Order: sequence, then C-alpha cells, then structure tokens
Amino acid sequence: MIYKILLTVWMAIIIVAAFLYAEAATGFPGETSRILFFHVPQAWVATLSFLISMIASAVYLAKRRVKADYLAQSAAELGFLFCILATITGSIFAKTTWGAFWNWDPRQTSIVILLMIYGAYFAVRSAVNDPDRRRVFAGVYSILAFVTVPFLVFVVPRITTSLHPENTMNPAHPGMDPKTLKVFLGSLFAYTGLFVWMLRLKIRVLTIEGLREPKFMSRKPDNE
Amino acid sequence: MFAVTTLIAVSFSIGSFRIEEAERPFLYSVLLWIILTFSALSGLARSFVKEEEAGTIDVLKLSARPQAVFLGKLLFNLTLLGALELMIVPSFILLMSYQISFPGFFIAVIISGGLGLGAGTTIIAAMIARASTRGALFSALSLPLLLPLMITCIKGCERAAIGISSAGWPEVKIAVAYFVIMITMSLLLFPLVWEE
Amino acid sequence: MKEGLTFVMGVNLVIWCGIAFYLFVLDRRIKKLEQTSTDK
Repeated sequence: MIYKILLTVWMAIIIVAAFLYAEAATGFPGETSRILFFHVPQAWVATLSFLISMIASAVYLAKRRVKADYLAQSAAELGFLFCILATITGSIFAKTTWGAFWNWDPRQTSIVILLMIYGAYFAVRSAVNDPDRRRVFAGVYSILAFVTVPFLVFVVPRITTSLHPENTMNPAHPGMDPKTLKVFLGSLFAYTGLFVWMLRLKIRVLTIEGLREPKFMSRKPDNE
Repeated sequence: MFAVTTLIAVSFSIGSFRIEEAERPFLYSVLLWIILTFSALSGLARSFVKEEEAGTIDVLKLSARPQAVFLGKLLFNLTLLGALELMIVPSFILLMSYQISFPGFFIAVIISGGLGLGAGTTIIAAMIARASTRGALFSALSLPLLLPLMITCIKGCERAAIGISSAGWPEVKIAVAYFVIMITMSLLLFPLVWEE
Repeated sequence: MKEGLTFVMGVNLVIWCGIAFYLFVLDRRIKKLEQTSTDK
C-alpha cells in the first residue's frame, strides 16, 4: 500500500517537474523536447522487461520452476505494452519534428521487428495446448528472439543513417542540462517503479489462475 | 514448385523493362529475397512434421542423440536451400536481366544468407511439429527472427548489383555471424524441444 | 500556451491511456477469478 502511495506521489512530482522545472532543449520546435521525460522511459522499460523475460525463460528451462515462467510471461506482456507506447509516442514525435508519422527510420524499423518478435512469442504460447510444453517452447523462442535483438539494435540502424536524436538527448552526453538530467533520471525511476508494480500484479493473477488449473487434465494431447 | 510459380508470376507481371534503370538494383534484390525466403519457408516447415506424421519420431528419439538429429536435419535443410538457390537465382537473373557489378560479393551474400535462413528455421520447424496449430504458425514464428537477416541480405545484394565499394564484405560477415549464433543457440536449446 | 506543450500532453495522454487499458483488462481477469471462487 505504502509502495503505491509513494509511487503515485513520485510520479506526480515527476510529471509536474517535467513541465515546469526542467528547461526545454534547444534545437527542437517549441517545447517538444519535453517528450524525453515520457518517451525514453517507455523504451527503457520495454528493454528492461525483455531482458527480464529472457533471463526468466532461461531460469525456467534450467530449473523448471513455474514461477519463473510466470515472470517471463508477465514481463513479455508488459514489455509488449511499453513497446507499443514507445512506438506510438515516438511516431507522434516524428510527425511534429520530421513531418511524417512513419518513415522507416532505422529506429522505427527495429521497434516494429521487436513488436513482431514478441507477437510471435504470444503466438507460440497460444499454439501449444500442453502447459509444460507451452512453457518450454515459449522459453526457447524467447531466447532465440533475444539473440536476434542485437542484430536489430546494432546492425540494422548503422546501415542507413538515423534521424533519431541521439547526442542532444543522450543522458551520458556531457552537454545535458543538469536540471533535465535530474528530472530524466527521476522519470526513469518512476516508470521502472510503475513497471515493477504492474509486473507483480500480473504475476499474482497468473499464480492464482495456475492454482485453479485442473491438475489431472494438464497434459492435453497436442497432435493426435 | 512454389518457387517456380512465384518466379514466373513475378517476372511475367513485372518484366525486365517496367522498372526504371535507377530503381532496379534495389527492387530486384527485394524481390529475389522475397521469393527465396517464402519458397524456403514453404519447404522447410515440413522437415520435422514428416517425422511426426510418419510416426518415426519415437524411433529417432531412442536411437540418436538430439544434437545429431538437429545437425542431420540442418544439413538436409541446407542442401534443400542450396538446391533452391541454385535453381532460383540464375533463372531470376536471366529472366529479369539483373545486372550485377560484383558477382563474387553477390554470390557470397546469397550463400551466407541461405546458411542463415536454414539455421534460423530448423529449430522453429522442430517446435512447429509438436504444436497443435501448424499451418501459418511456421511463417509467423520464423519471419520475425529472419527479418534482420533478410534486411542485411537485401542491402548486400543491392550493393553488389550497383557496385558500391564493399571492402570487407560487411553484409556477408553479419549473415555468417547470424548463422553461427543461431546454430550455437539451437544446439543448446534443441534437446529441450526434442525431449518435451 | 507555448508551442509544443499540447503535443507533450498528448504524449502523456497516450501513455496513460495505454497503461489504464492494460490495467482494465487485468482487472477484468481478476474479477472473473473472484466470481468463480464465490461460485464454488
């Protein structure tokens, strides 16, 4: 309960600060650079949850604990959600700064492939009836998908040049305004907190549903 | 069969003079890889389903180690792909009058792309054979994993056709790296799929 | 109002709509679970 209240307050502070405290970066039309405080955390949470999902899948394959699979499934689902949000907010930003919602910028290309990969992950889950087999296959697919991600993030964007703002908004860049940096890190923290809360909620739902599953009928035939 | 049909349909409807000279290298490499990928997908999906349907899968499980089974299937798929490429690529070049400036680089991209295609799809085929809905699932699962490879190969073919400097053959390196990583991961993960 | 502020607010709105939608779906699943438990 305390966690929820703290999270809400913190999130409210961050949103207010993002509008009033931090200063807009130069080089972008009007106040649009404030998107940094909302769009980038989505992408960060999406990446984080895919990482968690992959690790949890590996743990499940090694130890066969159902809990690890719940974590993998929940993280993949949330990652998918945040990935969609990052895509939508990114394309609105693209509209205001580059003039079009979609122009197959390398970043946009890779995020679409990422969305497809995780769409396919859910397809694996829905295609296999036997719960144990479903978990193993989903885990295997998750790891395979994760292996191809570096190809997307590092290989594809370098072939063509990107319009995606990098240096002006990169927190590691020394030119970043200290106020902006403070709010940005606070925002990352706030969205990560939100993500953890949603993740735990989802895992609890899956656990309860798992307890309800009839034990004796759990091995349904898949190809008879 | 699928390969020949699409090839004929594409070359018939587009012909070799519809597309402007400047656009050709790019569009042709896209078309070539679409034909290759989809005809490969329609053939490779069968590799494990066959065993499942014939009921020979249990015997295989008893008599061979999973890694050996995987490598055998992979070799079979790669041979299939090689034959497919040998058939499609020359006829595509002839039918579409596709001009290529760097034949060596072009061939290397085709070969390494084929290797990657085979490596990425074999383990998916093994999973499909044990799922309840097979039809469209194979392409749905394979394509997202193959897309980075496809984009790389399309770029590579385009560059080979135009003749932009290709020192170090970066696309070939990427495709080979993809091949190696996919095989390593598959060898690690295949026993889990196989024994489930 | 300064130029671009409506845009950033729009972005916020999209994000919160997305999160709210997800929570709504999750909530319905929980409700369903609660219902089946009272049936038994």
